[in-house]
Amino acid sequence: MSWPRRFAVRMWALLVRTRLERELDDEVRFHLEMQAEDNLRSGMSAAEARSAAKRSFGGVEPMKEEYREGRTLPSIDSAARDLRYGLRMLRRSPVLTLTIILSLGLGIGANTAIFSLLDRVVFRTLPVKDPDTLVFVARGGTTALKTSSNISFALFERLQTRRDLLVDLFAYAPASPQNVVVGSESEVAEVQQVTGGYFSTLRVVPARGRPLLPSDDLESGGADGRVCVISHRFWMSRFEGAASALGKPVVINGLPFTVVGVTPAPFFGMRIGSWPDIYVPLMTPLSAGGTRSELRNARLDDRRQALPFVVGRLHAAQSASRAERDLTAFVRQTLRDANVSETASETIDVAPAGRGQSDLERQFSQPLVILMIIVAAVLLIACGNIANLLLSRATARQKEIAVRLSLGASRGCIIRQFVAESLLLAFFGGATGLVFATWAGQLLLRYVSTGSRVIPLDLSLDVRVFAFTAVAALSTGVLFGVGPAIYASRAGLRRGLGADTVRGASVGRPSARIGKALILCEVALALPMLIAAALFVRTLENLKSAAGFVPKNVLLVSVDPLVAGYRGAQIKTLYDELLARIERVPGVRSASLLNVNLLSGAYSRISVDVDGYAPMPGEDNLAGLGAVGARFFETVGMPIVRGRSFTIRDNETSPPVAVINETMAQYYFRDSDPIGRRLGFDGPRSSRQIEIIGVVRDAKYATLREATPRMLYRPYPQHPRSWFRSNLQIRTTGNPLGAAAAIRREIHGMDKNITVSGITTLGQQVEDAAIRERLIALLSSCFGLLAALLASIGLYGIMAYSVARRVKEIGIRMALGGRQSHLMKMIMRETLGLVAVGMVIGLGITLSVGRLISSHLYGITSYDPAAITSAVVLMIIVGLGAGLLPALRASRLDPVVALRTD
Amino acid sequence: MLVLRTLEALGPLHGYAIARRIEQLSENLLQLNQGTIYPALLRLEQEGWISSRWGVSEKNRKAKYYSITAAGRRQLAKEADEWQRMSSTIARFLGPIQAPEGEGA
Repeated sequence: MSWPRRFAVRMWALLVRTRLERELDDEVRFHLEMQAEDNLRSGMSAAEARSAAKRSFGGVEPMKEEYREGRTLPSIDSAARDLRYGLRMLRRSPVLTLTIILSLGLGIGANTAIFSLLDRVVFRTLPVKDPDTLVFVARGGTTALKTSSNISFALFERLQTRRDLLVDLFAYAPASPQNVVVGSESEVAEVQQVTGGYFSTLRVVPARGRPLLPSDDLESGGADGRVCVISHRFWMSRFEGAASALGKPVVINGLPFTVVGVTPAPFFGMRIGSWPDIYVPLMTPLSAGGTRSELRNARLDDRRQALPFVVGRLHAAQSASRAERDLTAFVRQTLRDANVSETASETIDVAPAGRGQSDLERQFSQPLVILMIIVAAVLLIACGNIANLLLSRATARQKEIAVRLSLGASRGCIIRQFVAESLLLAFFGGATGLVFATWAGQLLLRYVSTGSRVIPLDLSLDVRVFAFTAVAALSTGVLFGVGPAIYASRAGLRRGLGADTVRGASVGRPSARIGKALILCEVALALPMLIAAALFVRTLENLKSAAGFVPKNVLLVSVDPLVAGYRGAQIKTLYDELLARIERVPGVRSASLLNVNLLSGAYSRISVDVDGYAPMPGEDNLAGLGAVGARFFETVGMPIVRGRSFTIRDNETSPPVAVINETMAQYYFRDSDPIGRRLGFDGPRSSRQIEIIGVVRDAKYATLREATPRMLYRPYPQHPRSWFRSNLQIRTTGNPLGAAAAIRREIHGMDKNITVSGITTLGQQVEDAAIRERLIALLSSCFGLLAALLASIGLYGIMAYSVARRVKEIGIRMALGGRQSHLMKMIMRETLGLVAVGMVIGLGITLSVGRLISSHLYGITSYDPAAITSAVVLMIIVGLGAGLLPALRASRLDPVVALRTD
Repeated sequence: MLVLRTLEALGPLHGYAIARRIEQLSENLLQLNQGTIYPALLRLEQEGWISSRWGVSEKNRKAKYYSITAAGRRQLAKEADEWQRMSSTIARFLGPIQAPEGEGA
């Protein structure tokens, strides 16, 4: 609601209230006058008549109060009053109020930030019309390839003719970075290839111009030639949102595409965490001389030349299982008609696509859930502290409460008042939290984004995030407010106004008891968090050291000679010369080549046939294949354990050689010496000419968490299949990125048409591969320490309070000869007793929920003694720290002063 | 119920008159504060059983007059009916018990 409007509503209520109030007064006055007149008539004196009238009427004000409560919705009226009073009370102790609001704000903000990420990544549907009827369509069966729909273009075309099965459908390929020129500016932009039904199936109407149509989806373009639709973002950033963008050309890899439309602003395609800039027809190749004939001419049942993703829209009343049945029947029939022998095992699988395709979900949903639990626990602990603060304040306010109770306020009134104050605190805390969350969310996003581009996720606040924050604030408000409220009202009842004069040992006990129970809970929550943090930190360390190579000071540069027009042996020659030139660059220690970068999540694999090894039927004889330059092992720091490494003389004219890793050696040769043994590729018919010349130490290849794969390395000159785009591996003497410019110059010195992309470091690859673990380790440590800190603050508060309460007792002890050290021990024992009980409960929690995180650990179990011990020790230190100040204070009390305090 | 009955019998009245009337009818047995009539009137009005408007009293003074509505009459009939049934039930219980006592004595 806007300010003026809110003001108007209040003014109106105020006006009406005064009018109603006046009417009630009139009515009462009339009543009393009538009664007085009657009394006069019956012979009383004027004064007597009036007082008798009042007597028989009863209490005017209580009646009015009752009347008022009946008049409006009583809760609203009194709630407004409670809130006004609450605001006044909060203003009276600004430091306390600010402390509470800030700690709440941080707690709620952290929760909101994690929730908004979780919501975007896991729960949200795509910003298109009727996302619920969108489905991924894929061909199943035993030989299905993952990450592909397995649907050939021919089959896709047949499906398109049957609108009774699916209202509409389209296929798309994952968006990929391409060289794009707008005007005179060249850059790398995300290009999404889609079939003509893309926009009509998603029911996305372009903000400007027209969508891509089936008639555009041809190799050389449709009637308008090659066309594209650009994203709203791209339109804004490259064309400044000008209407004249329509009809302008965008040059992709040297081919001009005419802009025909602009997507709506919130639309980001099918994949969460990606935001394509340009949409082009799938059948139009993205480079000069490119062709789609392989795709177009693929056989009906071809799975290798298939469309990556196929998405369809169901009819409104059509269930997914029904669609699955009908589509399966149709595909079987189609394949039978095409004389494909085996059709009985053919199935079509249909999966909901309304939430899009989310790699982020796969990668981050579980870590985010874990983080959500952790931040919720932090918020709980913060709530515990706030409850304790309010509890002690309630004790301090007993006199006020007693006055109010004796003036006729009901217990309910007191409770309501306290809850109102808590809700006010929660409200301000929630508001602070929202501000904090927008900032924290961006920070998180930047942190989890690998590479130079921040993951494009829109984290602006919306209704759902708002609702979450509101619920979080409200429930925390109730959580920390109700206990103190009930306590305050009870204590007030029991003690009344005379309380001040009977202050003794037993005073304040109930609040101290509740307070201690709260502290127990806080410690019990904080300990598992510390343990989890220790486990995650160890996991991260284990993972990083598991790599098996030396990532420091290695620069990675991707080069693509194909785009520059190199083919076949030209590429090999180019690489030979390139490596020689780069090794001469100052600061470069060694340079080599690798076909697929380490820790990029993938590796190329090849079927091997090893001399002297008889594979079982159906045995998987695939090995990872690295096509490398001469000094590769030296460059990335993988030691050769037997035999020799490749040299520059292992070229296309020399005898074919290979180096295998320990895992492969163990698998095929057990304990015998693999050096000198031979192998071949592609099954048993191979010529087995390749000689094994060395064994290299095991190292991870695609990911850090994988079991080390069997790896086979070949010199690239002997492996024509690797004459393709490749990745330079360059070990430098200093900061690797510092050498990047010189190397780029060197490459462009040879041929300035060679595309240089993906400049990064091996160290960065390791960091990125462990991004999830790093995120969890970092945040769980931060939140774990925060939890311990909060618990210790709570502990300190409770102990300080306890000492303050027992000043007299302590004074007596000292007067009777109690020693300082003894007093200190007494307080410390009490503190550590609390911590110990809390930790026992905490350990119980750890043992019961520990296995939940086991899948996120690496090289360590959930019950790792070292982690548990370190957490316990830290907790004890924290406890000692919290107890020390109050203990010192107690031991330094002057007994004379202590005995005089009341 | 007393208020509804009063208004049904006497037509529109102001608060004081209703209070007096109830006192008279109950022969001062119901010694309630007269003030309690007002919250009761408010509730009845909120239920829609009576309506109120400002009028001028017989002594030419401004007063709020209450009158029974159609819904109020229905409610009165219903409550009266229930009351009858209840009191006759209670009467039946109280009746026979006295008889055996008399015989036994």
